[in-house]
Amino acid sequence: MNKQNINHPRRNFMRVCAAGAGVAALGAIPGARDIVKAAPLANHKRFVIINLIGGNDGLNTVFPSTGSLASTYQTRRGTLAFTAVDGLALTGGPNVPDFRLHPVLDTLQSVWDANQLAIIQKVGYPSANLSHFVSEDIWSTAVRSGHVTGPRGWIARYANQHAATPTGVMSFRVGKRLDFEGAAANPLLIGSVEGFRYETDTSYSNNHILRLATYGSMLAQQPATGLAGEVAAIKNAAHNAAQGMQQALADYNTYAGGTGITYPTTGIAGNPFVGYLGRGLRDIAALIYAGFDTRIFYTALPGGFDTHGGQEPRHSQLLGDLDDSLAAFVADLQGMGVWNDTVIFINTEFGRRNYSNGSDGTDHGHGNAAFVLGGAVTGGMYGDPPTVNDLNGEYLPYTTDFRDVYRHILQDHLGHNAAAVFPEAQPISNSLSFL
Amino acid sequence: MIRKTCQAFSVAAVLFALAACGGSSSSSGGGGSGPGGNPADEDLSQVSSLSQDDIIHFLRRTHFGIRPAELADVQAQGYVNYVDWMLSMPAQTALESTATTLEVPDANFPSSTQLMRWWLYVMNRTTNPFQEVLAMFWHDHFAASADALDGTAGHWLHAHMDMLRNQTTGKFADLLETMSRDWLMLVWLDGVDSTVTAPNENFAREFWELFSLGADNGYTQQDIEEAARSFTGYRNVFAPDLFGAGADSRVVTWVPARHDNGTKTIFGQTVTGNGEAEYRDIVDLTLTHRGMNSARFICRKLWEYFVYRDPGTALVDDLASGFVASDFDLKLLYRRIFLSNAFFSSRAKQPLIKNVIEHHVGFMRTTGLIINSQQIDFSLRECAQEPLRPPTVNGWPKHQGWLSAHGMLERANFLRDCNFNHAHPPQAGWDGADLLVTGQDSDAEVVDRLAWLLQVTLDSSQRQLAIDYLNEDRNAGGVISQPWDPTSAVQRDKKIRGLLYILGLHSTYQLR
Repeated sequence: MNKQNINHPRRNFMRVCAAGAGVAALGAIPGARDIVKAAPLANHKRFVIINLIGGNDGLNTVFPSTGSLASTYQTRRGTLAFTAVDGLALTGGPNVPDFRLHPVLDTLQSVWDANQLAIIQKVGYPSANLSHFVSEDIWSTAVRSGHVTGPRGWIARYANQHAATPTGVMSFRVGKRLDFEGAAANPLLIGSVEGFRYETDTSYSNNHILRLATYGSMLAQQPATGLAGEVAAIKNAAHNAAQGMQQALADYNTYAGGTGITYPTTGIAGNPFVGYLGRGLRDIAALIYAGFDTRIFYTALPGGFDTHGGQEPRHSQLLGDLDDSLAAFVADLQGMGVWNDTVIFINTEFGRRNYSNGSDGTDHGHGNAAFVLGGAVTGGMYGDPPTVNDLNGEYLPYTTDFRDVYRHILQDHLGHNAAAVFPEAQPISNSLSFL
Repeated sequence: MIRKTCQAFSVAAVLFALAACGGSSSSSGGGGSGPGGNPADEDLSQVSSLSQDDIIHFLRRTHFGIRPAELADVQAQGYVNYVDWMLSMPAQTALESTATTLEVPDANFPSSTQLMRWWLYVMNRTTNPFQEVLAMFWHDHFAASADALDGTAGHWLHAHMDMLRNQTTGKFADLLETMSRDWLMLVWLDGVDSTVTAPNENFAREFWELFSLGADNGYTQQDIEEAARSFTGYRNVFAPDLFGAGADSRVVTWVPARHDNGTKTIFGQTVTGNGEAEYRDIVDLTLTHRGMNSARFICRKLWEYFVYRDPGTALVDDLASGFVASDFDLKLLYRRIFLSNAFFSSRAKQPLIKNVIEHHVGFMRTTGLIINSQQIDFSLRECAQEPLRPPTVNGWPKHQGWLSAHGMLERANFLRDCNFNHAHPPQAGWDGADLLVTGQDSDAEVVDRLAWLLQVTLDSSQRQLAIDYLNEDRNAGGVISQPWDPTSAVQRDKKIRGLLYILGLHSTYQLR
């Protein structure tokens, strides 16, 4: 458990070379300070994506609260509907009196009041697909029709052009998402920063250092091609970053001890996913603090948003956890002085049906509200809001292509040409301008 | 008619019967290969003779890696006999009973963690590893999670696991029906909340998309909405005192009034209300009217897991035709795959990526370094493959989906856990010499033997690094020379464990 036990790789390297084994420097474990800087990178634009897995009910996240729109929504949703007195007003910054936020979203309301929250209505893609997994793949590839040559994942296409290092784009707690498939530099896909290390063998701790050094030397000679080469490249990326991750976390923990910011990290009975996002966002904060050059951080709140049955209280718990996690994250970014350089996009694979299904839940839908926040964001309601006619249909249509949201952020925040990242042009009526 | 003819064959002749039923030219080699394909890669005719390397290939794909005793067993029995024995799923009663005693204190209220430990105990020690490999394949296919249940319903989970382990060698229709009415599945995909007044689409959609046909493969949104009406009528109810002595639980019951017994139209066919039996009717409707779609979907998935990825259309059609003709007999399908020449073709021997269970159980079975049950929970969670808790109904990652930087580190840490764990603390209860061939214990022989056991491929300089490792140690001051001495119990324990760790971290150990 103690990283000190594997902290002297240089000495091993000297030894191996002295033994005449002809081993390259790659055999050593890179030192902790090789990738960790003393402070966040200045003027470095970052993009944080939070995916709500399962299909968040956007219609209950930001709901109609006045007039015939509200009454139609209430009729369609029955007992699941909120009324105006339940929700949080969207009138403190930009003035949008016809909609309110879900009652637990007080952080998002305060960001709205600061004019730094963009709510984009009816986000989706052409030809609704109500399958979770097909829809997730569409979001991950950002390809709706035809075939795109090159990497399948849009983040991979971005990384290969604009951030081609293992730390250029990173994910946290989501495994290997399709978004990253095809990234040439083997981006670091992290479970948790704390766990990103070699644990030692406490019975033979000295010998264990020798084992790791021998392994490192072997790794340097492992095949460059084929499936074994693919494995070796990823193992190399992990090997090279393990020490740096632990140093980053140690530095951040020292710093965070003085900020008074606490991320929600514990689950609650019956909803194990509560607390999951807080851990991911805290890890992202740690690496930002450590000066990582990362452009895109991807994490998620998994598991619970597919609310076919018993939507409440589960949905409120999850949104509450999202909001609490954001409260800590936003304060942390502000404290580090990087809030103006960071854009956060909260998305999900699709919305839900306009009517409740009688299991006190909602089945799969399509067009959905999405949220963008950050110090550089111009707050307000974007896209076309739902109409009475929309609400009387099965589910909301889409009027803003999600790729236009991505494209806007890549071009107007990260400052990178996104044409090759999103090769399918999607001419739509709403031009987005929240940045 | 063809189906009848095939069923008339004895089991021994069934392989040839299926080839005849398939009727496609590709099984005789040649004509059916896909673009650029090598005919041998698609040759479904039965193998005649196998080398030791062929048997090793078979064990790596179906048995969590190799153990010398299993290799010897296959060779002694003969390959075809062994496959038939393996597919007969011989009872593991004594082993299962021991596992229950050790891991499940109250069989009426097992926790998901206890059942996972139980399963790992069995996987690590069973004489028929294929039973567990296959169960995990179907667990991934019909992915349902204990997260849907509360603590009073643990026995449902036990029943679900038993089904995965014991009911996947019969007819696919029976498996689909059993799965559709499985209590865990009914809760996991909201079936118990789906009623005549408000049908819930969740199960109906996944039934076709993930379980029987594949996404957008022969059904419409309208079909889903109609099938959702058929899949109504069960209810999850409180069962006070179910196990006596005030032990309250829950059960799923059939409530006729909750079922939509009206007429539905699915695949253009009229489905009349049939109560609880309508679950089976939808299964039969699917396999009757979308039979080849379903057979291709299942055959392709099995082939991609056990043999190679992206099989050609002709091969899949051939397998699928045989599957349909056998009335979707799963055991015959497995048999046909494992006895085919294509299973041993050069394309089939291109490596695949191990999932976590294959990696972990394989290391434990091959080395005998079995981690204790509490530690396995942690490692499986960190490595992101906990049996009984798949992340979504789509199951776990597949193939290269397992290759992440963190995943590779966690796999390394698992090997560390095996080296230092409570069941086998250093120098107690485990002797690395047991892995060696008697009289062959020089440094080079040890390296070669352990690399072979783990099926790790070392080039000459990597092999030399491993030999050097055996001849050194390290103290607080740095590396010291310490020539390999196989008669030293201390050295054997320290260095064979260490070498297994090093070899297990080799990139080729991630391949199967």
